[in-house]
Amino acid sequence: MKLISLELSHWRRFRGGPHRVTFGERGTLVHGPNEAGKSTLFQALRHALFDRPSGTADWLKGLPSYGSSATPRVRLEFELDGRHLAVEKEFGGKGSTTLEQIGEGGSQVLSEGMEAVGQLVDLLGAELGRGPLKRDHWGAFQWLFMLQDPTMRGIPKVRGAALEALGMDGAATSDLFEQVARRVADEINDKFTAKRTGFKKNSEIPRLEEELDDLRARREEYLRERADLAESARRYEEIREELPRLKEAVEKATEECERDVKALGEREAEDRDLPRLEADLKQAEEALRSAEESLAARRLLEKRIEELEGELETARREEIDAAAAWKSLEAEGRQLAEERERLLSRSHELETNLKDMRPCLETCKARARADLLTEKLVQIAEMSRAIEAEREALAGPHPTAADMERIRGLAVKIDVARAADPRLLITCDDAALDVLVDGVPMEAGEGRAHDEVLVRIPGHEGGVRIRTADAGPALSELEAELQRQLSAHGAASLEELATHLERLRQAERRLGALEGERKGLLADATVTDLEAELKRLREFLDGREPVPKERISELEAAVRSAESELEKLQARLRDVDKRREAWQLAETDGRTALLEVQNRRMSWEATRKEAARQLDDERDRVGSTARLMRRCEEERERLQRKRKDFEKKRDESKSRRLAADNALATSKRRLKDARERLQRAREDVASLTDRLDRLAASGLGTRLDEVERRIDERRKRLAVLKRRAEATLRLESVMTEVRKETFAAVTGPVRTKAADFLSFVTTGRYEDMELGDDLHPAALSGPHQTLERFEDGSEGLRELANAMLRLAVAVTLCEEAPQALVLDDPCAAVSPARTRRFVELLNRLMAEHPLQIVILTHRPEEFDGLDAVSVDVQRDLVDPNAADSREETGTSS
Amino acid sequence: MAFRFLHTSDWQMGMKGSGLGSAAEAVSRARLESLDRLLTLAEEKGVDAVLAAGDLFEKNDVADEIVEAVGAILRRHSAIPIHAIPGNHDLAGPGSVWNRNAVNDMEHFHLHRDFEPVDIAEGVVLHPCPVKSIHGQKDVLADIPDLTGDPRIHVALAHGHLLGQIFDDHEKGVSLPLDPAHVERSGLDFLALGHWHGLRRVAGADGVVRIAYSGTHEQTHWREREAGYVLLVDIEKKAAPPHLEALRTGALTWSREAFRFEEDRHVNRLQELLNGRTEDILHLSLEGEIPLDLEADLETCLRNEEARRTGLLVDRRGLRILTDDASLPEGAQLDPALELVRKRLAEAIDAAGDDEERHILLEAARLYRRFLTEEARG
Repeated sequence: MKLISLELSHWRRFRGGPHRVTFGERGTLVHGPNEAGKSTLFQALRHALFDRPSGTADWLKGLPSYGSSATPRVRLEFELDGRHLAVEKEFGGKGSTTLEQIGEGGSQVLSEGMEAVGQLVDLLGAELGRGPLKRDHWGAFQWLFMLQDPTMRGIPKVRGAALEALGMDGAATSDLFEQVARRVADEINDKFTAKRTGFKKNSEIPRLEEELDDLRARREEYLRERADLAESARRYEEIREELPRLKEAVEKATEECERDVKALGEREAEDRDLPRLEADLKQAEEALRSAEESLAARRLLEKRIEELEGELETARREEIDAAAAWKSLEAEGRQLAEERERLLSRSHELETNLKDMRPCLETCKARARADLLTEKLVQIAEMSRAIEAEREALAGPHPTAADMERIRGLAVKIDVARAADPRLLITCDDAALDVLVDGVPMEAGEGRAHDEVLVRIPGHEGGVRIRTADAGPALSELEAELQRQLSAHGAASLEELATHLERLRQAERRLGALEGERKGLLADATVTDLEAELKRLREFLDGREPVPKERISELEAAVRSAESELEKLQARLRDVDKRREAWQLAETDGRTALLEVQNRRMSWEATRKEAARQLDDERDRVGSTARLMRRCEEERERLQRKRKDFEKKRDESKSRRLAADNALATSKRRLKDARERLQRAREDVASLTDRLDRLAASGLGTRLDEVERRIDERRKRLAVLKRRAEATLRLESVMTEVRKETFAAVTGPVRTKAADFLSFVTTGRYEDMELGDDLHPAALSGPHQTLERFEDGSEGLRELANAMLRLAVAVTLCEEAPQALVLDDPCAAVSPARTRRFVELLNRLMAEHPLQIVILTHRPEEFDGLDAVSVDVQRDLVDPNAADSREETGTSS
Repeated sequence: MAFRFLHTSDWQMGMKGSGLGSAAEAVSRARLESLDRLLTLAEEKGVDAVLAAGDLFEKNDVADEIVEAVGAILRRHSAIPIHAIPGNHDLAGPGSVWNRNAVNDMEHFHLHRDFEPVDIAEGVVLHPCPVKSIHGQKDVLADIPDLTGDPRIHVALAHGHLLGQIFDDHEKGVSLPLDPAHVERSGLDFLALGHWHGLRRVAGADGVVRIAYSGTHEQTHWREREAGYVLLVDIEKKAAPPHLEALRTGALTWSREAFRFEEDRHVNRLQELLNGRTEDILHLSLEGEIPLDLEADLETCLRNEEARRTGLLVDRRGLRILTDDASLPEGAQLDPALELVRKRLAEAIDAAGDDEERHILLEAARLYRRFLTEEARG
């Protein structure tokens, strides 16, 4: 397809109209500042070709110029398959479409309405629109129209119909191939992680591997247990085999031991002279020791006799002293005895006197007491009578204190009534009337009444009685009441009653005094008690010699004097007794000391005699000391010689004995070791037997069999699963490879061209471009021939690759028919140098192929040199009825 | 004074049969049933004793249920005394299977742990020669004294390799050696042996058979010959030639077969062969080449066969799966890419460096074929 012209009316910012763009035969450079409407032109172009004009979609509503009710319209003229066609659409509401073929004789309508829309997309190899934001129905125009919209600017990733539209349908694998590939991918996704570096944790293989690891660990444990069992069994066998050898060693050691014991016996036989020698030596030494002891004893005796002489002298002196002390004590004792006797005699005399005086004193006291009691009882009887008399006097009714209080109250009330001011003032000016004031007739004139005024006609009983409403009882009533009370107590007046009461009180006081006095006389006793005591006293006195009371004092003084003296005597006697006791102790001590001293003296004398006798005996037995000493020295020398001989022999014997002992000890030690080893071996055997039986009984074999069965089962299953997983990966790999090969076989020319173009524009920096099966750049060969992911490239490089790929597709399609490539701002991020190379490439391709290039840009200077018609959107959009714009604008080159 | 006994050995109770695949359990079960049969036979034949020459258990740590099952069978047949010795698989001693309660305290069962000769019947002396160590190098028969002057029948019970007679290939470095010359030297009337699973009779210089291996009472492997028997031995009197009769006790029949695919495009010929074999346990070696699309049929055929028999072990090592001439399922043939995938897989299988690689690629080819078939069917 080649574009000829585009007209639009009432189209967004292009108000009115129609506004027309005429495209150049090869190139068209549509330029203008931002917001000038370049992209709006492109929008009108795509709607004219691919979209339904009818409907109420939002994008349709946005097409009319703002504020205009006119219907937006577009008309596009183009060449397709050698025909000059025009499509005209009015958008909004029911919309309208007309497809015409323009010939030399004029235009011919090919179809209208939806038929025209459908016919057009069929001619274009596209499909009916699916909305303004989608382009996958554009067919090959997805590659030929590059919009500025970011979502639609990139290289399309579409397959199938698009490839078919491009004539590359052979590049796609069949649906069946893809279904199988999906099955393979599903199988892999089920098992492997997203990056396929390992198996998914929840898949069967890791679970089996984990189980297998556990089972293997358990098997290892069981095998160790079994190895332990085997080792124990081996050890058991070893020990069992060793046991006879150990027994043999014990027997051998026993034999050696017995042999050594025998040898020791022989040594001992050799040494049997030793005890005899030792006995002789002991005997000689004994004799020497005896002589030495005798000498020492004699010296000791002599020394002892000297000491005893001194001791004896001392004892004699002590005896004399003790005897003198004893005599002094005897004299003191006698004095004490005499004094005691004297004191005892006087005491006896006093006690006899007291014995005589005390009965007289008691009799005298009893008589005095009896007299006192008699007198007291008489007084008490008199008082009792007086009390009775008083009590009789107090008998009868007497006003009580309450009565007196009440009567006094009445009197006080009467006094108060009398003392108070009269309550009524009475004036009587009619003497004919009887006026009684408070019961007392009042004469004419004025008067005062306390309580009551009675006015009456004389002779009449009745009259007018006047009383104050709140008056209490009348004075007369009070007085009457007082009189009644006094009469009741036998008194004529209040004073009389008070006197009576006073008398009563005096009588009571007397009675109280009498009773107190009697109580004092009784002194807590009763009359009966006093009478009983009196009776006892009289019985005591009955028959006794009367003693005058007056002697009481005399007797008491004599008794007190005698008792006092007696007490003093007894004190002195106690003192004498104490002194006698002390004396007796001293006398005992003195006597004992004297006896001891005498005994000691006698003992010393006996000892001295014995020592003297012993000394005499010793002198007789040994002879002179000098002779004894000589004999002792000779004996000593002889014994020392004998001892040396003996010690020499004894050392020799000891040495032989020691050797024999050592040999025996060694033998015994060996025997002991052998026995211990044997014992240990037996214990080991017992222990191992127990251990082996326990291990065997623990079901180890069953457990090991079971774990090995499970390991085998899982291992096989795991092998199958892993093999299958690996097989799936291999299959996917083969299918991917085949798919790539199939794709590359068809898309190869596009790829080659795109790579060439890119290399040209980048001056050889990027030489190759790898395409995916969606015709999308997958990788670029970077510097040093290394591949870089397309997504990793800079924005400028990606933009350039985008344009190169579209250019390659366009050039490839040009081999069948002329093609228009529309690029909206294709080099926005590309450097000026590469943009110049790009322009150079476009010029070359436009020259070599039936290729029409339309570039929209706001920087036309970058495309200087492009073999293209320049269209300034702001300046050049002209009314179609005006002169031919192409003639006016010319080319920019 | 005639003495009649059953000579048996190598019951190998509790053997795993790890090389028998799915047949292992059946073989293990059959061993117990055959023991019961053996003891029933002993009762029927009215023997004086059963002599068991070792390896009655596979190992000392055999599972309890096996020991208990054996004990139960032995107790069921308590009328005839059984004399047994430990073999190299079931050594006596601490941890031995013979220490377990299930096989102890049976009046009629005598396990001889020592070499002490014992009178087992009137005028009959048994010389037990138990294995004491699995690595024993001492000939236990050497200690049997000269018995030629003794009028009683002397029978020895031993377990090991009989030197220089029938197992030449095992003589080097052999343990448990037994010199047959001791039989003649000592004047033994019979030497009942265990260790080898096949039935063997060994004639002396005078042509009289006084030495024999009874073999196992139930076959344990395909390679064993004349296994599954017990020997009924009659000895009339001292120095009389023993009379030996092999009695069948084994229940399972074993067979080995090989089959080669010769450009077969189906499994009919193999099926015919299998239909003609009635053995319980079959070892089948497959050889030749089959196309990949025939593999599924082959597997179905083998699964059916396995279900029909006690045991089927298939050796596929000689079988090659061809992917070159495999055809794509209908519907997939129009897509050259699909055909290219198949071709690439076939090339990779041919070029595989090792078996595992080949197996993986074969699995990939199987998977591809399966997915393709399923997807093409829709």
